[in-house]
Amino acid sequence: MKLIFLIKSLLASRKRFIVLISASFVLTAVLLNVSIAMCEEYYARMSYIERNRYTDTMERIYIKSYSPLTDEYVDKILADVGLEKNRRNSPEPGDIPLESSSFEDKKSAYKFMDGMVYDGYFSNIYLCKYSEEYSSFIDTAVSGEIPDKDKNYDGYIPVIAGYGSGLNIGSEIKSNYYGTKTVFKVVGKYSDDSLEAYFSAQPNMIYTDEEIMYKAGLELRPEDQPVLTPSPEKEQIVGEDGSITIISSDEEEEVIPYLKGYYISRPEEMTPAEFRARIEYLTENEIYGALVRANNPPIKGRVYFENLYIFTIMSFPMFLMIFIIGTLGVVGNLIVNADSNISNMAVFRLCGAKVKTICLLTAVGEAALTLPALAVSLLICLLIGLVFGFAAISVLSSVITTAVVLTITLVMIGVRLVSVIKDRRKLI
Amino acid sequence: MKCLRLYKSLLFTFVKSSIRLSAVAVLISVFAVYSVICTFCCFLSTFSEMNKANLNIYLPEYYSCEKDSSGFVLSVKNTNVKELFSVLSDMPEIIDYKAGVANLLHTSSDSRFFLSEYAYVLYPDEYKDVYRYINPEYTVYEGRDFSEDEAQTCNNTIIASKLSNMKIGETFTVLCDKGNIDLTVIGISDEFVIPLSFFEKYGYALYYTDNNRKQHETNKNCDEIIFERNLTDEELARLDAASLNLYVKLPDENDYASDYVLIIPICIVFCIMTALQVYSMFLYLAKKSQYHISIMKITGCKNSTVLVLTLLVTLTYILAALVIAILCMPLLTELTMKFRLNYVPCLSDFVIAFVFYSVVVLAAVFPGLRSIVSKPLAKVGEIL
Repeated sequence: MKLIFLIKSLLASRKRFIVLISASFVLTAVLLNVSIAMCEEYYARMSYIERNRYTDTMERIYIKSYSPLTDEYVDKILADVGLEKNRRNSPEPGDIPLESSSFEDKKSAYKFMDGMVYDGYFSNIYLCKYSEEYSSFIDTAVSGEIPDKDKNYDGYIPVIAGYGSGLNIGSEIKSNYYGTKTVFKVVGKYSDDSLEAYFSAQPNMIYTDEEIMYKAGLELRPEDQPVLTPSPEKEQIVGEDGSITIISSDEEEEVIPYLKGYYISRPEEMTPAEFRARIEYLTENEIYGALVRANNPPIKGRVYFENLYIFTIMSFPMFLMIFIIGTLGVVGNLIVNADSNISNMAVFRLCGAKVKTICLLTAVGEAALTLPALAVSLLICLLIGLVFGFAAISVLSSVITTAVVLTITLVMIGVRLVSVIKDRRKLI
Repeated sequence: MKCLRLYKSLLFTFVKSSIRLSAVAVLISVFAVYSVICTFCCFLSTFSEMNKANLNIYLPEYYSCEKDSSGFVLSVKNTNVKELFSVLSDMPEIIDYKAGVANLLHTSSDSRFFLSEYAYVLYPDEYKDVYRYINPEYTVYEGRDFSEDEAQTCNNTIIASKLSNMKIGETFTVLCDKGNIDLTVIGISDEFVIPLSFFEKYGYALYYTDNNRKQHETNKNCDEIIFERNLTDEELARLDAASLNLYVKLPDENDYASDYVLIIPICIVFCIMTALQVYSMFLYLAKKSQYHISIMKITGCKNSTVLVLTLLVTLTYILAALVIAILCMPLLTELTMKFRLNYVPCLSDFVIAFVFYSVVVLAAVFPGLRSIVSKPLAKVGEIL
């Protein structure tokens, strides 16, 4: 009780000073927090790229053909350059006509890859049908369940929701999927945005195994799809990304060729130049009646993110200065605080306080300046985040800021305690 | 003379009262000046090339392109890099120079394809006078880097990428119709690196025709130059006269004032943060010198004189910080170069930073110092 009274009187004796130093600590911690939070995303992206180097190991291609893209057919094309064992489906968005969407504009109708007529507007959720779940070969993670193609799901299609889709596990999407009333139920969710950030996937996508779609009768297996015939008189528009659209000039239903995207991974023993040359060979030649196009940009790499975060990179020296000023400021102010406490401590000592009590009061006196200021600064950062919608705080930034402030406080307390114990005469 | 002596004695008392705190205050002030300079570097370095005059210079002789409908000016002629740099040294400041990468065509015994390797192009050191970041940053993991002589004149050497599985001493053969060119691998890095002198010696485009009469090429991609401001007609004519392949992109209308609208508040926030840090230190030093101040007053000094002297002492700390900051400028330049900031701080920036910072600090400490000076022995034993 006596100790609490002493601490209270110690703090109350210099209210103005404590308020001022605390304000400087709060401002420093806020700026430090904001600067770390601003750099964090860039560092996370860079460490992901360094860890995986997908730009060196993967290429993305589209295969367009009038024949259905069965596995055998695609493998035959890729076997021409010895890459048939390195194929995976890329995340391609397919529209899901929602139940509420209505068929109004006939001119927008065109036949889809599977030969069924698409009869709705573009909905804001896209379906991606994979042959191999992405977390099995891409550095990403799924929370919840991964749809199992061998399991029987009663009346719904299990899907994994994209990180940016806004859907949660248990959400249902009711759709009029090309004439069939279908319910997609979210059973899992990607726990990071790697697919969207690096692999050009749409943020509002849901993912499911293509086998589940085949079993539910919502899609035709490539083996069951008809071989189409070219219609040279129709106008084809080839997009920059390799997508092909056929313009419909009348109400007649149009047919577009089968089109699918794939990731081709580089075999470990192959050099990047050799791998690139093989992909270039594929994209330059029509093989077995199929046209292969390279998809650019295939995977976003270092250069893309360096350009995206150029301002963050250029702010680094500024952030470094904030860090140095903050550290020096905290050190300097703690020195002032401790020095100005010496006279008070001398009075306590004269009144019979033990050295142990003086040490405790010194430690509490220093900590009372930094710790509340730290808590206030974190709250301010949270408020900035809430009010301005700006990522002023993150788990990492708050941990680093706390660690920095705590380290400085502990070091300063340590130094001060050593000087109190070693040089008692100063107190008397 | 008397005032100077008083100022000296007061300064001595300030410093002696706590050398540690004086050092910390000066150090904080040094970094406060640097924080303002770094803000200038961050905002005045270009990060949006659309905002600046943008000139693409294509080096390969064969390059041709058509006039663009969206306001591009175009002129295509032959060139070489030496000529280009002699002209560029008289042009407005270059704020970005993107050296085009090279595509090197070669074959491998265990491949049936023509392979092309991307390579960074290494410019001779003298071109750094025109743009300091002209050369790519690369780390040599094995072997050695190019010597100055090798960068200047082509000695048929190359640095290979570690992913290419090449070893030091191996030969890298560039295919060419006029006879293949053998390059010796002298080092291993993340990417291939080839000196510009290779292209000066053999030409910017080397062709190779395969058995199917298909033409492949080794070439150097275009360089892209961004100037600080739009070029005048006269400057464009000079580039044109130097027989350069030009592809000039007209800049967007840019409101340069917007940069300063951001810079000034950020600088003020930094200065306030720093002033808050040093406020208690300066007042503590003044309080520690209160006996000296009271003696000055007893000997007949007016309040205003003592106040001015204490403010001058505070200013001296900041001035010392400015001098240290200017002396350590090469270190700051190294730091900004690490982050490829193209704005080089000059002396005027330091002066602006000093004015900003000293005004904020003096305004902050003025009321505290005034109360200490007016009642130097009030509340003795109590700090602040």
